[in-house]
Amino acid sequence: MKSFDISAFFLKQIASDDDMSPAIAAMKALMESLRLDDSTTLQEFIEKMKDAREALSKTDVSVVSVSSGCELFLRFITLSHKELEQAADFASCREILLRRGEDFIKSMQESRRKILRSSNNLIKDGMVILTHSRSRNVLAVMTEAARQGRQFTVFVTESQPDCSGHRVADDLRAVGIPCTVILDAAVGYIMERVSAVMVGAEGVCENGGILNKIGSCTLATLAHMKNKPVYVLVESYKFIRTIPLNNSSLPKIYLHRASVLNSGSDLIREHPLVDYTPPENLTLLYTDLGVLPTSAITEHLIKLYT
Amino acid sequence: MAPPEGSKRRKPRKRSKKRTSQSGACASPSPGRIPGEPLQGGGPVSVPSEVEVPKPVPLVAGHQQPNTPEKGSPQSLSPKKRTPQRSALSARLVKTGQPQPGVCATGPQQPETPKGGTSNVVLTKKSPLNGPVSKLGSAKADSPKPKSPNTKFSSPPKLGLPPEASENVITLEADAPLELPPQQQQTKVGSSKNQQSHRKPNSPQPTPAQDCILPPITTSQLLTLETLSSFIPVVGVEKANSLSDVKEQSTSLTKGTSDANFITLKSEGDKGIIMSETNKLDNLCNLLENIVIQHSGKEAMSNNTIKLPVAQTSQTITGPPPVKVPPSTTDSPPTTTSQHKGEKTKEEIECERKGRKEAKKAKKKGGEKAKSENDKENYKNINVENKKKESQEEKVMSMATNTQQIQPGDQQGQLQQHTKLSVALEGTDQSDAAGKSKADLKRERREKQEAQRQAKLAAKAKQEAEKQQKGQEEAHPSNNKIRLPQKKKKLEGEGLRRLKDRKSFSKGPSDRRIPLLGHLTPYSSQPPLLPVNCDTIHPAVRTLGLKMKDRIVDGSTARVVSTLAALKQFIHDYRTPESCDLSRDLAEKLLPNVAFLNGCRPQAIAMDNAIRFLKHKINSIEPNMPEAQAKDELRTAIDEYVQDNINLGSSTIASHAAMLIQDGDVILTFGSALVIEVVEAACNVGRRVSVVVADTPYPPSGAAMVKILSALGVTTYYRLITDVTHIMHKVTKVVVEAEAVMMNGAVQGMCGTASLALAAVTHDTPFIVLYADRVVFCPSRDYCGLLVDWRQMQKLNVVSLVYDVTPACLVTALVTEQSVLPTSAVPVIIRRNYADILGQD
Repeated sequence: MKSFDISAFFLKQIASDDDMSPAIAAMKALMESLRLDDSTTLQEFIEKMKDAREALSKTDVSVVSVSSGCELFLRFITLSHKELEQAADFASCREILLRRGEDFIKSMQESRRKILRSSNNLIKDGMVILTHSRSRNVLAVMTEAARQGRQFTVFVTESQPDCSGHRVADDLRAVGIPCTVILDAAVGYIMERVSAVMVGAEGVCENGGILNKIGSCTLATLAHMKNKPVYVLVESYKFIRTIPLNNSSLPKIYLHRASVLNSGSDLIREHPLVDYTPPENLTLLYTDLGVLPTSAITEHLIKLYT
Repeated sequence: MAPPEGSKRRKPRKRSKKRTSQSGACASPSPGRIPGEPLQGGGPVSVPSEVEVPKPVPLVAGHQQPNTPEKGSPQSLSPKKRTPQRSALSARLVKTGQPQPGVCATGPQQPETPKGGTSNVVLTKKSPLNGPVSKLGSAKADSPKPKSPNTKFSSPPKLGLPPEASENVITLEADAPLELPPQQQQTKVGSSKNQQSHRKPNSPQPTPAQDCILPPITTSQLLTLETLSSFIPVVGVEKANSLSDVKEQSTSLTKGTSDANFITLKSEGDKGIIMSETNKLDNLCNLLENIVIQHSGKEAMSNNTIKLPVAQTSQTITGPPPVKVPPSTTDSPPTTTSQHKGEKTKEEIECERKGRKEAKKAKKKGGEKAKSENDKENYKNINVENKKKESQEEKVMSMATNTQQIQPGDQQGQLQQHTKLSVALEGTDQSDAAGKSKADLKRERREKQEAQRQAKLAAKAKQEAEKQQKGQEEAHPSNNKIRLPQKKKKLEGEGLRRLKDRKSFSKGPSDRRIPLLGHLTPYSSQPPLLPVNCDTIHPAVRTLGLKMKDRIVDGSTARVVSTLAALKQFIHDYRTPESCDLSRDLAEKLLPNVAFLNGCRPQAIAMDNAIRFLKHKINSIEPNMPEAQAKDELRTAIDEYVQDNINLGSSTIASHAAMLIQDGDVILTFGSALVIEVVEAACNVGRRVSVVVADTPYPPSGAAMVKILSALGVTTYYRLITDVTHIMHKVTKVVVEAEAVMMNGAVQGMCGTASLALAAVTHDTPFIVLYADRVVFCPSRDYCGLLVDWRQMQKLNVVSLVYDVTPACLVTALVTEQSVLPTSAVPVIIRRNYADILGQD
């Protein structure tokens, strides 16, 4: 069979649908590679999947959610060993894997709707919400609240270095939500006026801390200092089985794009893409599994991975 | 309370003097007071023993040597008094009606012999039975006292009994003075046929005891035995009195009575054990009578030598030869038995009378509940001591019984003999004290004389104002009770210590609590005491327990492994008794072993979990599984447990933790083998780290670690934990090893862990806990520690705590062999993985 460029497919997926999470796109790419796979044994198939995952993690995007989503996907589709063992040959095995993969992706795509349901009463009239970076979950929740007629205002940080805050402001204004873009350095200035902080996450660590766009730690820490609640809207496929001891212990692959890492430049001079927010600064996580405190993440991770 | 008691005491003394007009009796009350006071004051054992000695001695002498007028009179008096008490017990029982039956029941149960005759008969029988039982207890209590040379035999009974006896006598006089005197006289004479007849039909048991007593010819041991028997009835009477009083008094009293009943039951159980032992012993005795006789002669000699000084000094010169003669006389049991029976019958009658009087008094008294309770407690203590002594001295007892040639038929008599023998043995043990006996004897003589004088005076006073005294008499019983406990306590001396030790086995010494750390389990320097021939504790477990106690086996991992190894051996040697389930029986027999280990040193939580695992395995064995297969399964399960949870654990943890360590880290740690592995693993991965070992002065476990690390080529700093703040800002990670992790995520570790965690949080340094035993989870515990060593002077409390608890919020990450976990994962893992084991309890 002709060789399949999973990275290209993955990037194409992201470009085609702006509303698609990189993790979902990665899963779809894995599904595509599975569909086109010509392996003859399960072992060979698993090896190829690992290679595909490696390739995806080296694409030029933020890979935190991609790696976690891929790991969970592979784990899920190969989890039912009983069914796989009963299969007569690998062809039937692949049928099973494909079916399970489709189911999994479908259920994962449902997760945003579940988050909307769990955060139904999160936004109330008169609230002043501060958000950071561009999270599709935060946008969806705010849009839903505006659709229900809730009156609230939003402050959005500029979110350097990619200035995604401006895109967020445009999207919010499009649905009629009053919105103000502030400097990243103005978080402390604006915090006392804010009633709640809402952010998304690229990854949720086992202890309940989150990995998110650089600046999230500042935001959460200041909010914590001012006793403002910090809500995290995140899908469960972004849970990661690691515990960063602190920001300096984050793996470099999370901090920088592959292009930067491959360039061989001095990483000290490069701006990191993500930071780690410890769970002490977070209030609640709104996930498709429900509203969870940070201490409950480990329980669900153990459930997912065992 | 004190003043009324004193008055009461005086009155009883007077009464006793009047009735008996016996120097011995008089002496007994006076010494009783004296010993009681020193006891209250907490005086040394020797003092009470001295005081006590005179009383018992006269009794013994009287029994042994009727020839000597002085001895004979006191002896006769003392037995009479005792017997009256017994009778009083029975009388009370009859009078009280409802309460009486309960008392009766307890009484007969103790002796075992009472098969449940009519109330009256039973009462009489019971009273003797109770007497012996009480004697056993008293004898046991006395046995610890033996330290006092002179008083060894007599002193213990005297302490407990004499005051009571005197009081009882007084009460008897008040109630029926006429009756008592004749009885006493008869007893003095040596044999009252009527009494004998009563006694014989009622209870054969007492007769054997009496036999022992009668052969005054017998050795000093016999004499001591006699004294004991005489004392025993008194004790029984006291108990009965206390019981009746309690019942009459009020609900609170009812509690006390229940306690008393328990006590009696215990004593009964003891008797039962003794009985079986005695039966075996009797068989042996019959087979080896000749040899036994020789041995007995030797023993008698030794005993005589010991006892002789006391008897001689205290009273007329009984002379060792007569004592020696008795063994031969004992060879002819029937004659002696008949005589003994006669004496006992007299005594019993007296006791019954006394008991009736006391019962009346008790009814009148009604108010002294607390005293009765105290008495009961004392009885309990005595019983416990008795049990201990019995177990330890069983062999010796058997020898003594052989020598005495106890009547084969009467188990009770044998029992009494046993008790007596035990006392005698104790006395022999106390032979060291015999050297002191001269001074003691002098004191005893003086005391006796004084007692006689007082008794005479008291008798006069009583005669003058018996009616007035009756009201006071009501209070007397309480006084008696009070005195008795004190005396018993003093007498017990060593016994109390043993009791404490026993308590420590189960509870740990509860007497001393360090003011601020009263919630901790105190450390006992004594290993838990066990019965001599106890086969419930497997030798391997016993050895391990002592090793752990001495810290030869230390460290939670080593303790778990060795514990499982010992229990494996225990399972290997286990044989399922017929008509028993292996799972049930094994689990049951496992308990005392575990309790022993726990008594040696409070279990590490890892041990607790391992034992839970083992219990779970045992309980899950199917009942129809063959024993060999079940044992194989258990042994393999233990091996797998050790392999999975302990052997594989450390290397996995090291590799996990090494992933958390970065190049150039400065690691602060305690001395820990696991941390060494982690550092080694990190070095193998190519990380360059330096280590700061914060050591504790006790135990300095960090020194060895520093040597190993420097051998590995790791830059190492060694300092005490006291100056850790100086270097804390340079430290990038703190790595410690946990002893246990609690359900709420709190970490129990070496003492100092919590302070390291606080320092780490203050400097925002990650605090990593290595957790070697993934099964080591336990229910939530707040800050606590295990007290391992302490000693104290008056107001100085020296405490060395081994563990402390670090709250979960200070722990950054928990490294287990599974993975790196947050502390919030602990309850999840416990629920998921150990629900079956944890659910057991």
